[in-house]
Amino acid sequence: MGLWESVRVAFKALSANKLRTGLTMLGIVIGVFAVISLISLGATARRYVADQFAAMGSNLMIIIPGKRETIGTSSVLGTSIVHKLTLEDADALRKRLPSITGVAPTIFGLGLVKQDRLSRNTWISGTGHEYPQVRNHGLGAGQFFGADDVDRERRVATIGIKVRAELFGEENPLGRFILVMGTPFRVIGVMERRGTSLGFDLDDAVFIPVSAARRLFNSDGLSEIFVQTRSDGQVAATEASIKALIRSRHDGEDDITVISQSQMLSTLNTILSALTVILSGIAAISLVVGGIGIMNIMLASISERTREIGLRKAMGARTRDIWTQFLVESVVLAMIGGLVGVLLTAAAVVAAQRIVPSLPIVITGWAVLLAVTFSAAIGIFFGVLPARRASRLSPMEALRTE
Amino acid sequence: MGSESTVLPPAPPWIIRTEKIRRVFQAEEVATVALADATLAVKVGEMVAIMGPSGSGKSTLMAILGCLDRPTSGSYWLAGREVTELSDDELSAVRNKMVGFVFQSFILLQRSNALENVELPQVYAGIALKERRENAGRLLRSVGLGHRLGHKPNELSGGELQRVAIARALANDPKLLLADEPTGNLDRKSGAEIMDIFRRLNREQGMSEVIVTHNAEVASQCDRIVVIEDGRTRTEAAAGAV
Repeated sequence: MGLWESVRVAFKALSANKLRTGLTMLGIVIGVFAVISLISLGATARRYVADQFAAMGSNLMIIIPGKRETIGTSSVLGTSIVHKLTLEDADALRKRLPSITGVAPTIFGLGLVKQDRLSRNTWISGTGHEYPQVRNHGLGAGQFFGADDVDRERRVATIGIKVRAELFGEENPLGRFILVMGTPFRVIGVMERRGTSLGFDLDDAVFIPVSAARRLFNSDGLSEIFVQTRSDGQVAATEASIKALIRSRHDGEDDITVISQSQMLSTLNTILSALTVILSGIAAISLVVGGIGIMNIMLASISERTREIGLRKAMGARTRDIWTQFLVESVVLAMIGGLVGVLLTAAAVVAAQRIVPSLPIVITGWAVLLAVTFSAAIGIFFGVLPARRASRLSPMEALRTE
Repeated sequence: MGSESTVLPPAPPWIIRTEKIRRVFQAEEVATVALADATLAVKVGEMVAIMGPSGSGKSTLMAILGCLDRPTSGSYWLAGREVTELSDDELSAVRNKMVGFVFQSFILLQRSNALENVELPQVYAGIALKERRENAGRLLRSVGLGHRLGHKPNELSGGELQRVAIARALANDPKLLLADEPTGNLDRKSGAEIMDIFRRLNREQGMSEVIVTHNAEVASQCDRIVVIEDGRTRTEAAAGAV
């Protein structure tokens, strides 16, 4: 008996009891739906993170004081002095390393900002004049402070869009004064909307020259230095030269940590991939449960059709003909379930995009292929035992079964 | 357990020849002897009835004659070929090509129509759809069911069901028809019609037939009656003698 013949017989047998077939398929449908959705959700999350990082500023590195990796040994010896990161360090990086195309030495902290009778606790970010370029954060109105303003410690501020709305409402803030931690600053610009980046709401912040911030916070040390590098992929080399330069300025101490954007991205990707694998694994369990449902139904079907099997054997069916017939039936059952699961997922994606159009949902082709292949494999795996049992029935005994 | 090999007599040609067939069913500790040294010979073109009380071993003998089961010991030549040592696949082929079965309870595929039921043995013979559909139609017409080709079993009467089963038994041009109580589930009239078909096949086409029956009227239409009792072919009587 040919394969096509077996498929025909399988469809006939499966359509004989539609409710039972449907319920059995449902297990596979749900399993496939869960697997594809979760894999696709994982891909969507990765894309979302990648987009966020791209918006953060291209070829960004962050230098923070303190050597994070070797806290244990150096502190036990007690000889290490952790040097502060200073404005001079930032200047040196900018002037001495040609691979660096911009720096934003930054001191930040929470502080009270007042305008007239309105006040707001917000992020005060003292930074360098290259900040907009380094962090890829453009201006909505007015201007950002320049190198001159930083050098002369001028009290000028560029404010985030949320601060502007809270303190000025519909009024034009340009040229007006605000009190930043009690000191008057003149507003010279408003940043464009940007949202949260690295856990920091950039719209709810006031940007002032880093030199002025140093005085406000009464601190020499920088919180961090944002560094923009050339986009030539020489991340590791640049990182090494940054470390070497700072080491020479810090009495030979390796007391900074350099985080590159690509490093962060790959760390997050690793976490998201692991999450995707774990969640898909859990979803795959439901596929396996669906497979057990198939095996159960196939076994029940075989005991109901024992006489049919006996008849087919009497009419000349070989052991392998019966085996093929039941295996094909199980695989057809699983694969139809798989295809319905894929269609259901596609429908869910269309629906989700209609509800939340901005969601970058990705249905990965390989997830679909994987789910359908996997459901076929489940049909084979859970069909082999029933098929074997059916094919080994003695024709004489099978025919006698009522 | 005959140690000397049995030589077949040259004539007449036997369709069935068994030597001391024994069939023992072993269930845990208890061994049941279903057939004890059953010896039977049926000539080509002969129509033989097998009679005997329930549990006498008729069904076991039929299963062995139809290659659905193997004897525990003894020899069985079907159309001159010793079949007790054949592999499962070879036995499938023998059932497919050499033997046609007719059962008391018809045993048709309920979801398939008359044509598809008759096609079944041809499916396993690897015959293409178009050809087997033509064959099935011709066979159904020959048993008077030309008007019922597309009907499913639940739309047919008992007599019609058994005629479908006979057409199916003939699908691969078998050398032997085995019928197990073919009229057992039928009323008198339908039973008589079925027996007419068996007789006609025997007389007109020279079909060899073995029919198990409880019904003396059925048996009397055969050439010969073999009585089986306690697993032994005890008596061979001429038709009409029982």
